[in-house]
Amino acid sequence: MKFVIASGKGGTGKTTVAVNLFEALRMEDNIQVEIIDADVEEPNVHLFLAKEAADIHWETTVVEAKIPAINKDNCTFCGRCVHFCEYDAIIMQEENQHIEVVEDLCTSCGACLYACNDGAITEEEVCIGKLGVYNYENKHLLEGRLDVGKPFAAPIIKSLKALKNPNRISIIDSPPGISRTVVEVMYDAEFIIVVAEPSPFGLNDLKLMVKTLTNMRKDFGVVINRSYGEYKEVHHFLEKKQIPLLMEIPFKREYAKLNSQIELLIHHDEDLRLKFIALFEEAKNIYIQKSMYR
Amino acid sequence: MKQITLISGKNGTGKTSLTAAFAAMVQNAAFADCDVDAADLHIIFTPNIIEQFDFVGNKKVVIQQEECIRCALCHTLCRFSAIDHIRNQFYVREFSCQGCDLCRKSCPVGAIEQIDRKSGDYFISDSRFGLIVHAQLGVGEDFSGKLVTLVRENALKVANQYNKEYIIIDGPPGIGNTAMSSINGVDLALIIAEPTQSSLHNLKRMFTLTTKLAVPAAVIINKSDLNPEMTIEIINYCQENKLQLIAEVPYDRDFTYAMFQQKSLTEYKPESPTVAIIERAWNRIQKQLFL
Ligand code: SF4
Ligand code: SF4
Ligand code: SF4
Ligand code: SF4
Repeated sequence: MKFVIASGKGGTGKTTVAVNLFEALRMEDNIQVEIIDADVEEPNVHLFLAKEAADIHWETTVVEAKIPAINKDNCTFCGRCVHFCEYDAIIMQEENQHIEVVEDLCTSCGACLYACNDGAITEEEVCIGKLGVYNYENKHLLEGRLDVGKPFAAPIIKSLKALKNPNRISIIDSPPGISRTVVEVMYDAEFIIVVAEPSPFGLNDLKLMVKTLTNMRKDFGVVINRSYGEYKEVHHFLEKKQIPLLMEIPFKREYAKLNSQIELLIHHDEDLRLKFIALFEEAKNIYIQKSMYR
Repeated sequence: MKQITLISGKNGTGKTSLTAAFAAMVQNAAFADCDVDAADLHIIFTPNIIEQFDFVGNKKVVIQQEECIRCALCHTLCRFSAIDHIRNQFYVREFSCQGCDLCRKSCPVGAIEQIDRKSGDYFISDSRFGLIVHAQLGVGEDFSGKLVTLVRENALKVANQYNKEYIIIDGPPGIGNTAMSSINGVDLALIIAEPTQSSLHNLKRMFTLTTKLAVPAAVIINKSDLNPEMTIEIINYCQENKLQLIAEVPYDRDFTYAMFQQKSLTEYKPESPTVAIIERAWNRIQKQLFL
C-alpha cells in the first residue's frame, strides 16, 4: 500500500511528517515499511535517516535519458527535425551549416529521430539524475535525485517506482505543489496525506491541492502542522468539505529546534509517535472503507 | 532597471513574507510572482486585476475513435507511455502526455488531433505596492517555465512603460525549470536560507545553479536565531564562497500575524526591530546592485 505525503507548497513540514511517520511505523514489530523520497529536486529524507547510521549502505544507479546527437556529415539541413520538435530544442542555421540540440530543453521525446530521413540523428544516453537505495538494518530508503538544472523529472519518478517493494507499506515524500510530476507520483497511490499549515497561504495552497485530488478521485486526509491555535480557517474549510483531519501537530519551539538539527521528533516524544501510528491506522481505515463502496 | 529574484531551495523559508516586507518599503518597483505552481504573494498584495490572459502551455492530443484503424503505431512511438489501450481502443492518458505531437505527426490516417488547452492564467494587476504580474497554473500542468517567462516578460513590459527602477520577483523554490527561468538574466538572486542542515544543503545546490547561469547571488539567513550553530556554519559557507551575506533575520512570529491580516510585516509593525533589519538589508542590496 502506498501513502503519498503531499502539500500544496513546500515548507509545510511534509518531509517531517514523512520521516516521522516512517520511523514510527518502523519501530512497530508487525509492520514492514519503506520510505521513498520522490522530491527529486531537493531530496532531503536521507538527511534525517542516514544520520543515525554512519556506515549506512547506499547504492546508486544512474538514470539516463536519450538525447539526440546530430551527425552533420549526413545532415541535409532539410529542417524536418526542427519542425517536429515541439520544444524548440533544435537550433538550425542553414546558411552556416549549423545544427545543434539544446539539451536543457529536450524532453527526449524521440520525434526528431523519427523525422529524420537521412540517418543523421542517433541518440545518446545522458545522465539526468540518480536513484539511491539505502538498506541499513531494517531501514529501507529509496531516493530519486535530479541533477541540477535538468528540466524533466518524469523518467526518475518512473524508475523510482519500479524499485519499490510491493510487500511493504510505502511512505512516499512527494514534491510540493500540483505539477505534473506530483500527479505522476500520486497517480497509483492508495492514499494521500496532505500536510497543511494553518495560515492564509496554507489555506490557499490546500484548496488547490484538494481540487487536484478531487479531480484525480483520490482518497485523502489532512495533517495540520505547526498549529498555533489562532487561525481556524483551515479547520472550517475541512469541516465544510468533510475532509478528514487526520492529525494536528502543535507548534513548539522544541520541535522547530529538533527539526533544524535533523532529529526525528518521535524519538523525543513517545506520545507523538503513538499519534503517528494512529494517523496511519485511520488513513488505512478510510481507504478500506471507501474502497468497499467502489 | 534592476531585477532581483528571491529564491530558496525549499519553500517555507519566508521568501514570500520577505518579498512583501521589501515591497512595502521600496518605492518605484514593479513585482512579479514567479512561484506559479503555488502563488501566494497575491494574498498579501490583494491586487486588483487590470488584465487577465490565458496561458496555453503545452498542446494536448486526442484520438478520433471513428478514424483510428488501431495500428498501434502511436502506442509504440510515444516515449511517455501516454497512449494506452482498453478493449482495443487507443486513448491518451492526459496527465502523462507531454504534448510532443509525435503521435499526431506520424499517425498514418490522421486520426489524432491537436488541441490547445488552457493550462493557467496570468494577470497584470495593480496593488498598494505597485504593479504586479502574477499567475496561476492549472492542476497537473507542466511547462511552468514557459509561464514564468511570460510573467517576467510582462513585468518587464509594465516596468519599462512606467519607468520603474526595480522589478522584485518572488521566485519558485528549488533548482528546476521554473527556478532557472526566474533567475536567468537577473541582476541579483537573493537566496533565502534557514539555519538547518537541509537548508545549507539546498543553499549549495542553489549556488551551483546561480553559478551555472552566471547570475550574481547573495544570501539572507532567515530565522537565524533558531539554531545559532547552524547560522555560523552557513555564514562560513558564504565566506568561503565569496557569497555576500545581506542579513540575518531573527525568527519573528509577527510575520505570521501580519500574514493573518494579509499585510506585510512592514505595514503590520513598522516599529519592529525586524523591519529595521530588513531596511538595512535593502540598503545593502542597493549597494550590491549598483556596485
Ligand atoms: S528528442 Fe524531442 S525534444 Fe529532444 S530534440 Fe528531439 S524532438 Fe526535440
Ligand atoms: S531532419 Fe535530419 S537531415 Fe533534416 S535537418 Fe534534421 S538532422 Fe538534418
Ligand atoms: S497511430 Fe493513428 S491509427 Fe494507429 S492506433 Fe494510433 S491513432 Fe489509431
Ligand atoms: S503527444 Fe507525444 S506524449 Fe502525447 S501522446 Fe502523443 S506521442 Fe505521447
